Order: sequence, then C-alpha cells, then structure tokens
Amino acid sequence: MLSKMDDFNLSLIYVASFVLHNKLKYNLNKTTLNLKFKKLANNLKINPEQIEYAFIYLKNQGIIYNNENFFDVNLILLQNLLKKFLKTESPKNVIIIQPNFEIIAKPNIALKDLFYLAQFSILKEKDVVYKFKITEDSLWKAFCSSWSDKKILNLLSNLTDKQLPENILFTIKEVYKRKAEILLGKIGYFIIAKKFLIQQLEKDAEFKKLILKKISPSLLLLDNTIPIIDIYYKLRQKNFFPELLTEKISKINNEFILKLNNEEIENLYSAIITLKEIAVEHKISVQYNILNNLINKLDKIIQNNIKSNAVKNSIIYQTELKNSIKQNILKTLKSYIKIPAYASPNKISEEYKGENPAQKLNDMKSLLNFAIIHKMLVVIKLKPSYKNEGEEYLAEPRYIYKDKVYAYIKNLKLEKSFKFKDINFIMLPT
Amino acid sequence: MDKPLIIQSDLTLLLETDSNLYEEARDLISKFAELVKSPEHIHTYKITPLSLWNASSSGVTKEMIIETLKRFSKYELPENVIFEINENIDRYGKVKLIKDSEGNYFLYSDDDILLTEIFYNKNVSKFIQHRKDRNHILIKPNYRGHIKQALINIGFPVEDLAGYEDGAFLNIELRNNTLFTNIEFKLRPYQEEASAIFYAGNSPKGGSGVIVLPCGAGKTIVGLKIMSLLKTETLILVTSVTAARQWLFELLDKTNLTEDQIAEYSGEIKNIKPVTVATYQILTHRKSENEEFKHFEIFNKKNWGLIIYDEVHLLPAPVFRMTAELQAKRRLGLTATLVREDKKETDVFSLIGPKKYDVPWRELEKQGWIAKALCTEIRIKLPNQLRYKYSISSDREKFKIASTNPVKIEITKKLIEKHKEDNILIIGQYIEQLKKISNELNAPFIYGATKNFERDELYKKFKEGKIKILVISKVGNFAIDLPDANVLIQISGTFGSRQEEAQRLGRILRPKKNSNQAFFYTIVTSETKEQFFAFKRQLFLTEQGYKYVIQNG
Repeated sequence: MLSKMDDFNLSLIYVASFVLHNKLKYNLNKTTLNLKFKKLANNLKINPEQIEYAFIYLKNQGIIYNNENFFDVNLILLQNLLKKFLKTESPKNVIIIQPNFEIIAKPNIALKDLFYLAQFSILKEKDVVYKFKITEDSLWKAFCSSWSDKKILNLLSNLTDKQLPENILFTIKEVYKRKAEILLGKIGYFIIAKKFLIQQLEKDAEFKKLILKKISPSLLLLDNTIPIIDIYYKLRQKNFFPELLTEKISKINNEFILKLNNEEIENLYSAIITLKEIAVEHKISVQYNILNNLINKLDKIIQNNIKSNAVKNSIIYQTELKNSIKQNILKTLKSYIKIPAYASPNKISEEYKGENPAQKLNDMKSLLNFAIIHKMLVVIKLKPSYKNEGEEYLAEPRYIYKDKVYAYIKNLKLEKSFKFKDINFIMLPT
Repeated sequence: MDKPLIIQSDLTLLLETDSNLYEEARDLISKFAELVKSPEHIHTYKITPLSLWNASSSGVTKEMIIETLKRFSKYELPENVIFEINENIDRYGKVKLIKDSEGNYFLYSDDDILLTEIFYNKNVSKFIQHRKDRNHILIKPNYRGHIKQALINIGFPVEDLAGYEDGAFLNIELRNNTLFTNIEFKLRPYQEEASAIFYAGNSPKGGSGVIVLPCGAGKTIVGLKIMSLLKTETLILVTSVTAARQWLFELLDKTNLTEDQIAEYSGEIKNIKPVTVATYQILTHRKSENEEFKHFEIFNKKNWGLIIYDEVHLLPAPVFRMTAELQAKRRLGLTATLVREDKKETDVFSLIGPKKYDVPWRELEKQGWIAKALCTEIRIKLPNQLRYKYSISSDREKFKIASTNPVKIEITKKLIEKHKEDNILIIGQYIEQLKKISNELNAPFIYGATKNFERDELYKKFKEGKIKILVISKVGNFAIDLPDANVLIQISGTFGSRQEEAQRLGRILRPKKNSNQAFFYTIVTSETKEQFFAFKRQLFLTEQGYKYVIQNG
C-alpha cells in the first residue's frame, strides 16, 4: 500500500500524466485550467488545490514546459526528481489488463510502476484501485518518447500473471509499427513520408490547404505560419501517427528510413541537404543536428547500396546531376518558405521606424509569432517612461495573449509579460 | 481464501472472476447492484439508488447488503458506501401508491412534511389533482406512470401497491411435448427462475419489469411461461413481421393455444384475438405527422392482462408514451441488452418496470445453454486505387468507402472456404455491396424489399440445411431464429452501434448440436474511419466478456 508520504509524489504523477495525455494550450486562461484540474481532482478523489500545487511545482521545476504553445512534460526530469521514491518493486499480479483496454492497478502497486503506466495509458480514476485506459493516442504519445512496444509489453507482463488479451497485444504492436510513418520537421515545415502517404495528404481536402510545395515524392513543404503542433494534431485527427523531429530522434529515423525505397531515399537526401542550407542561410532553426544526423544516415545507406550494387546507376550519384537537382530544389524552396522580410536583423529596426502604430503592432506580432514557432530569441526594447529607462531584454517569447506578450527572460530566469504599448521595438539578435 | 471484491467509494464494485468465491459473491451482489460490464477478468457492478430501491422492493435489507459487502471485500469498506446504502434504502417506501375502492390513485406517506415537499414540486404537481388530507395526495387519472417517473427523478421512489387490473381470463398451459416435432419440452433452470421472479406469486411486487437474457437463451420461452402463470389475454409487441410469425409459431408449438386463439396484427394482416402479436411499425404508423396513431386503439380493443414488449431496447418513443398510461396492466420487457442508442434506459425502468433478471452471456455459455463464440476481427488494407477517393471524401463517404472495400469479398470467400461444412450468415449495411456478394457467391439475399413470404421460405430452407449461405441486410439484426447458423461474417455495420454488434452476435448463439462453437468474423478496413467505429463495437463485446482476436487479412 502506498504511504501518505507518497501522496505528493503521486499528485506529481497524476498531473504529469494529465498534461501528457491532454492537449492543453499554453495560453489557456487560469479559470479554464482550474476547471480542468477540478475535474481531474474529482476523478482522482483528491483536493483540487493539491493538483494545482503539483502543477505549479512541476512548472517551476521546468518539468512541465511550453512545447510549441502546448504544455508538455519532460519525463526525464520528472524521473530524476522522483528517483529516490522509484526504488520499491511491485508484487506480482498487481495489475489486471482487461480486453476492453482497461488496466486496473491494485493499491499495493509501487510508485515506480504507476509512473510508468501513466506514460502510455491514461489515468482515468483513482479510488481504492487505479484505473488506466490504453488508447491508440496514449500509445502513440509514449512511442514518441522513449517507449517501444517491447518495453510496454515487458512491463505489463512483469506486473500481471495473466495472459495479455490478444486484441491489446495486436493494438500495441500495430501502433508501434505505424509510429513515425510521417516525420514532421521545422525549417519552413516539412513532412517526410512514404510516397503513397504524401499522395494521400495532397488529396485531403483540408490538409492540402497547408501544403506549399511538394519538393520530392516523399517530402512536402508546409505553411509555416501556424504552430507546428497544430499540424501534428491535425495529422493525428486524420488517423496518421506523426513524429515530431527532435534532437533525440535519431534512432527512430533509422527505422523510418528503412521503410523507404531507394528512389525515396535519394530524393529525400537532396531535399534535406537543401533544407539545411536554407536553415543556415536564414539562421532560423535549432535543428541543424537533426538534419546533419539525417544526412549522415541517408548518406551511409546510399553508400552501402552502392557497395552492394543496388543503385549503382542511380542518377543521384552522378555528381553534376546531383548538384543541379540541389540547386533546383533550393530555388524552389526559397520562393516558398514564408520568412517575414523583417526577420533579417539588418532590416528590423528600419521596419519599426514606420509611423503607423497599427502596422507596427501587426509587424511586432508577426515577428513574435515567428519567433515563438521557431523558438528563437528576440531583443525586446521598451519605451522609456517614468518607471524605466528603456530597458532591453533578451527573451524567448512564449505566447501572445490579448495585449501582452509573455516571454522567458534568459538571464533573469523568469517569465515576464510585456504590454505591446510599452514596447519600443523588437528585433532578432545579431 | 482471497476475497474477490473491490469496493470503490463511488459505489462501483469490481468482482474478480478467478476467485473461488466469485459465483457466491456474484449471486448475492446482483440482488442490489447492476452489472455494468463483464470483461474477462473483472466484472463491474454499480450500486445505484435505483438498484437499491429495486432490492428493497424485493425484500433485501440494508443490513444484508452491508454484510455481503463486508464478507467479500478485499479491502476496507469505504465509509461513504455504508452511508449511501442506508440513506437510499431508507427512502424506498416512504411514499406509496395506493388505490381506493372507487379506483382513485393516491400517493400516501406517514411523513406529511415529505408529502408537502412532493406536493409543491413543480415536476410532480402537474400530475396531482389535490391533497386529500395530510397523508394522501389524489393523482390525476391515467398519470400513474408519469408520477412514478417524476418521483424517481427527484429521488423519491414510490412503492406501487395499487396492483394491476386483471385482464380477461385465458387458459394457457405449456405443453409437455412440442406440437410440431413432438420432443420433450422443459424449461431451463434460469428460464424457470426468471419467470418466477417476474410473477412473484402474483403479488403487486411482481408483474412488471424487464428480463435480460442473451440472444439464443430463449427469451420467448420465458414469455410463454409467464403467460401460462398469469392465464390472461396477452398483447405481444415485436420488431418485425418475421419475429411476429416466430412468436405465433412458438405459441402453437409450445402452448395449448390453437390457431383461432392467436392472431397477427401487422401491415399485412390486422386480426385481433385473445393473444395478438403486433409489430412496432404498425403501431407507430400514421399517414402524416399531425395525425393520431390510430393503431394504438389495439391497446383498448381487448381487456389485455399482460403486454409483452419484445426487444424492449428498441421500443419506439410513441409506444413509450402510450405505456405510461398503461400502468394498470402487467408489463414484461424482454431484451438481450438494455443498452439503448438513444440512452433511454431509465425510461424502460420507469415505464415498463425494473430489471427483474439478468445473467451475463458468458455464464450461460459456460453452462452450455448458448454457443461459445470466437470473435475475430480481420483487418485489410484499402486498395491503392481507392486511397485517393478515400482521402478526398467527406467523413460519411470515407466510412462507406472503407466499409465497401472490395477486398472484403475475397476475404469472405476465403472464410467460406474455411467453413464449408458450416451454416453461414453474411450480414452488412450496404445493399449494393451485399447484392454483389450474393451474386458472386450465388447465395440468396434477404433485405428490406424482399417479400415476407420469400423471407420465410429462405429462412425455412436455411433451417432445413438446403441453403448453407444466406446474405442478409440489417433486417436480419433482430429476432430471426436460425438455430443452426454457426458462422457470421459481418462485412459492414452501422457506424459504432454497440447494440447492433450484440444483436448480430446473438444470431449465432443458439446452442449447437455438436461442438457448440460459433464463429463471429468482422472484416474491417484498417487505418480508416471504419476501424475507428469497429473499435467501439468491439469494446462492447469485450465488456460482455468476449475475447477478441485481431488478424491481418
């Protein structure tokens, strides 16, 4: 039985699981957020204040953070925080997995296993026992972090002495197989997927509005003026299992790349090199490592293929042709990626010298939105007033709400809000 | 011994089925808790005010309930559970519904303050004529059902002691041997038990309610037994002409009633005799929306002593309204599932009566009264040429494209090959798809436009084994009795309808002569809208205790 001492840690797990499996917008107002906490507290039969406190605590620790304008959880940090409490082992047969995708965990389950279960299933209820629900979405979320099908199945079989229902086994494996069928990356935005999936997206009445250009049979360039996370969830709504390219994703790329055929790999290779060049030229992304990683991997695969004579005569390996394709894509990309003109540091101050206040507000908002989407730092210079002397802040803008921008000030390590009317100008640091 | 029950503070009971004490615990808790779902390892029951009042009405005391919970509980009983049980049980019977010698109905209570509260409640007052004295309220004529419904909604369940009107006498006896096949006819123990609970020694405590039994478990037989206990003229309401004729057949085959005592009242034939079987369609038929339901007059054409509502979960709203005015008649609801897609389960409780008897499907399967079913979902891909069409279509169209995936025909053929010795039903939603399958397999097809005599003929041939494969549209979802069908291939369905899934499975659950094994296949196009809905349907069956196997086609 979990002790009273575990109560606080438990509420941290509840909140983390809740944030992980719910799409909570970062700029959600406090009343709505509190209502959601109240509902959660009701399901878990605990005091809503306990939930609210756990949420604030996790946010202050940086465990709950702003991921593309949505709340997300850094599970590694949370695990570190709970480390000393995660040592106890659960007895055998502590959970029961039902064919209706419900997991019932008995009260004597160890905190560690609750923590793990909450990562790939949704904690629905806590009473005498805990009730979790496995869904395709909860599995997909887990697979997007460090979980694999085998890891989940191992954990489940360690905690129960009953056979895993066949339909659940199938679903876990099936979702894992489909994971990363679409890779979603930033720099402009791009989608990498198998040719037929790309074709399907192109035909989709709603999704095709987001497509700027198809630059290779397996790579789409998307409108980058809306939050990438919206695209991510839009794909999920359409029953795809997208994966956001992050720094940690390299091992998954391997699996995905193996799903592509030679032609798709070659086209992808050229397109990604070009994307990287664009990224470097415009200093707009932190994703160079990902791209380098991808390039290296693709290069290796193509080299191997050449050694094995599989694609010996491929045109991509005739250097001149390869370069001309590259130039061509580069040209296409430049004309399609929507980078605001004022995003270039040299032009920014000129833009804001304009006298039209409405235009200035619009420009500021566009630039801030761009910086929020691409996680860029900006310089915010305030107007001098009786309160200040026109201070300058190097800040990472998080979200815009009504007449204010909320930003994280790096050197002060705090979040601060700025009224637009108090801002003199905003620029990208040189 | 490891105790099997987990009692949650929200009054949910989780019962572990592996325990040695499972059966004993189940029998006791089902007296005061509703079975919510029964997947493989843990069955969920819920104690509700209604379940407690039902228990109380059948003589179960709060002490007995608390004692049972303490006896089987794995962990300490949450305090609030005891409080809620006491509170709710104490409410039952505080208000009684009684009838005076002149046929007036009154609400009666010793607690005059409670009666005042009820008198001034605006949801109840519209059914009240006046307050006779401190302890009696006279209710308006014909509002017995309405007032019971309203009082339950505000948390004051009425103990209905007004009794029933006896209908015209009819001597109904069950036969010892069936008429047509001359084999011994005897009720199964659970059928006897269900009938006895409903009848309740002919006291006002019985006489109205719902009996929930799986398809294939012989609900009709329970109906016949209750008719033979009450010995009164009976009106039976059913879902289709085919079902009506099956009832008529059973009445002749298993009771002493003769052809001149029984009649069909449908779109085709409109006879009324001491036992009349009418369809819901004819009762709710009217030429325009503004017209009265003229066939409702059947309720007054005879002095019925019992009304049987077959497949009560499909009872149409106008018949519900009519039923509210028939509270003086005995009412029996029969169904395989209380799940209503329109969520009107509580109306069934208030107007037909409480659930009187329920057995989980898997229990009857274990006892061999219904066939064992193996449920398999076969997932297939959408062919590339349809992917384009699929991706540019609306959601509804997407569902149709996925449901009518032509690959399904190939899979169906493979399944037929695998089950060539078996009796196969192929059931689906889209007529064009079914026609195509019917043509390719050279198998007869029954759908809405098939004339009733043709349907009867085809069902007969299927029963006799002259036809091994029958393709049916959703007209075959309900109340067709094809005892030898042991394979059902579902090629498309109505979105996520759980009730349809249960009914379709029910088509193959009649006990089989040899291995008693039935096979239920659902063919689903993967990664499409259809898979999403199939998942919802599948969930319902898993919660009824069925294992689901998923295979790639």
